[in-house]
Amino acid sequence: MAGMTLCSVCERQVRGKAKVEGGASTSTADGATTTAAAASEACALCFGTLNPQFVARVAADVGRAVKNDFYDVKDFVLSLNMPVSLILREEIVKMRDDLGFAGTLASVPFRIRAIDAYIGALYEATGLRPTKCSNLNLTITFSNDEFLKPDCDFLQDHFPDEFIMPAKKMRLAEPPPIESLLTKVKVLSIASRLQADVAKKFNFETPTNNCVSSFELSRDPIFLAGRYCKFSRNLPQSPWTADDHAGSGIVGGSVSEQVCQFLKQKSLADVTRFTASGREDIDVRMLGEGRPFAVQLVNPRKKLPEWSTIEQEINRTFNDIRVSFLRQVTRAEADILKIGEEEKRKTYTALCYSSKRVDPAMLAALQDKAPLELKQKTPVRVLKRRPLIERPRNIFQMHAIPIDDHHFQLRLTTQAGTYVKEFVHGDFGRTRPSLADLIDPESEVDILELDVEMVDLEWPPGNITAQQPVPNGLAK
Amino acid sequence: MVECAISSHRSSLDRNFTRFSPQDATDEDASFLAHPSGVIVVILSTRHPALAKTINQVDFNVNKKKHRGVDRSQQTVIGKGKKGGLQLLPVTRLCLIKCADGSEYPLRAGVKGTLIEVNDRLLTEPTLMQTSRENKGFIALIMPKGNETKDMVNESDSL
Repeated sequence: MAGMTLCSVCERQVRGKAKVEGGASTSTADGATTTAAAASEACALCFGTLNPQFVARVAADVGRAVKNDFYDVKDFVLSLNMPVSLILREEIVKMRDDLGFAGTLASVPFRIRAIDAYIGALYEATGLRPTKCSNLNLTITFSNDEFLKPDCDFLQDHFPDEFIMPAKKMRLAEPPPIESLLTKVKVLSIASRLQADVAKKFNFETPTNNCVSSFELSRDPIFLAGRYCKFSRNLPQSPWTADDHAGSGIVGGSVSEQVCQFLKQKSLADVTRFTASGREDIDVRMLGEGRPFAVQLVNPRKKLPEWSTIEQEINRTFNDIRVSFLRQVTRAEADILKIGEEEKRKTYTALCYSSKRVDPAMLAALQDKAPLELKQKTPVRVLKRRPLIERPRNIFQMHAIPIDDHHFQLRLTTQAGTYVKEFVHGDFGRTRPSLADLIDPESEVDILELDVEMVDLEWPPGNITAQQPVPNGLAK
Repeated sequence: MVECAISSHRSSLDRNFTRFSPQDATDEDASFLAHPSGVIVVILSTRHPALAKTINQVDFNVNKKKHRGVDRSQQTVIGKGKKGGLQLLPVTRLCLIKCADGSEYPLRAGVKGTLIEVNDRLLTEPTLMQTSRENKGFIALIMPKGNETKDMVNESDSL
């Protein structure tokens, strides 16, 4: 039986013998021998990852990275990724009783021994307390591909059915090598089928290279929820897309970019993601309590100060944007924004023009025409990037107030996804019925200004003062 | 705020579309409303003789006699790419305008591109083409291949 080289740490913990200087062998009753490694880094079980000098080096690297960054946390959670070959060996060792491992930690999973080895050194190097529950995650990955081929060959001999390359991959110009199938998951699934006789045939080669270590520091994302108002008729909600607009007016960023940029600077996050419950056109104002939105801060370094302080600062910084009800939410709560889009209701005010003189009686009669169903073909202005379909949409309430002979204000509550501008001017007769059809088919009706008054959603979640859905759909 | 919006009223059409006509247009040429996103609305030209007459029928099936050709009002397009839309050349005929006095005017596409939609309301209310030329009486929607209006007269400038 070939001897297994162990480092001094594994020698002590697993084999159960005291550390032996350079090259001496010890033997057990069975005749299997283990040799204390001359250079204590080489180890067939831990690949040198438990060697105190190696540990110190890795910890120093992590320490440097932490000091150069700005995380305002005091603790962290440690995760370790070990090389696949090492995991395989652990599984094989479990099935063998001939190795004479009598150390106190012989039956302790390698993962635990490894974490134990690193915890102390990491605390020393970083000043952060290792815990089971923290916002900051440190993931250290060790890789060693030296035995990928021999391990793969060994397993393929005994479990050939696990190493069939999927047909899809074989058709590629350069099909990936068989070794790419040897993953941690694959090893663990084979392990359940591993028998003692097969395990005995495994040869524990000693690695000649050290493991390559890399690590990643990442803080749990922060999700913020709030409502925003947009007071400018020349400000897009999301970044400008050139083919949507007539190119008039100077635009300096969008609502989403400005809010995200502000929060990113405050929290020193890597990336920010903005989602909102629908959006309004560049020339449409968002009034009332505002449109629900959520921002995800990815890998933030700093916890944000109190929400009302941030709100005030945002509102002071930006003239045309107002943020309210800002608070932190969970990922699950942030996902609510996108659910059930179809059922939501929005309320608008539109300033309308009629080419023929407005009849106040016809305007008053509008109120009784609701609720009604429209059929809207995809508007011409978005037809370039959307398929041509006809959508049914509901108008739940309407109320018109005359302003002068040719102008009136229309307040209406519609189903989400209704193109309000097209309802007013008819979009070449492709939205029916249009406002003109309802008031005076002989007249041409046009929309001059549009404001969104209410987006009907309880948001932020659990906040009872912000926009409860009203049973009959009409806002106060 | 309301006052200044009203006094400087430009219609949605003026604000969002540019009017184009081909150079040296004939009776077979249509005019166009171009949206900045690319989509073109085909409309009757202001100088078209049919405007002064009564339009009895708009026929989208333009090649009946030769038993070929497609009834443009029967096409369906699928997806963002408008698959299934008739591929148009400038000389391709969109429709035949038949007037009360017996005269007939074929109308050409005038641009290269894909036919997205024709105004099927003209089948039942053909006079819309005269009474609401730039609105309910539009003729068709086209997705042009490239910058098809670059050689045309920009009528919006002269307003």
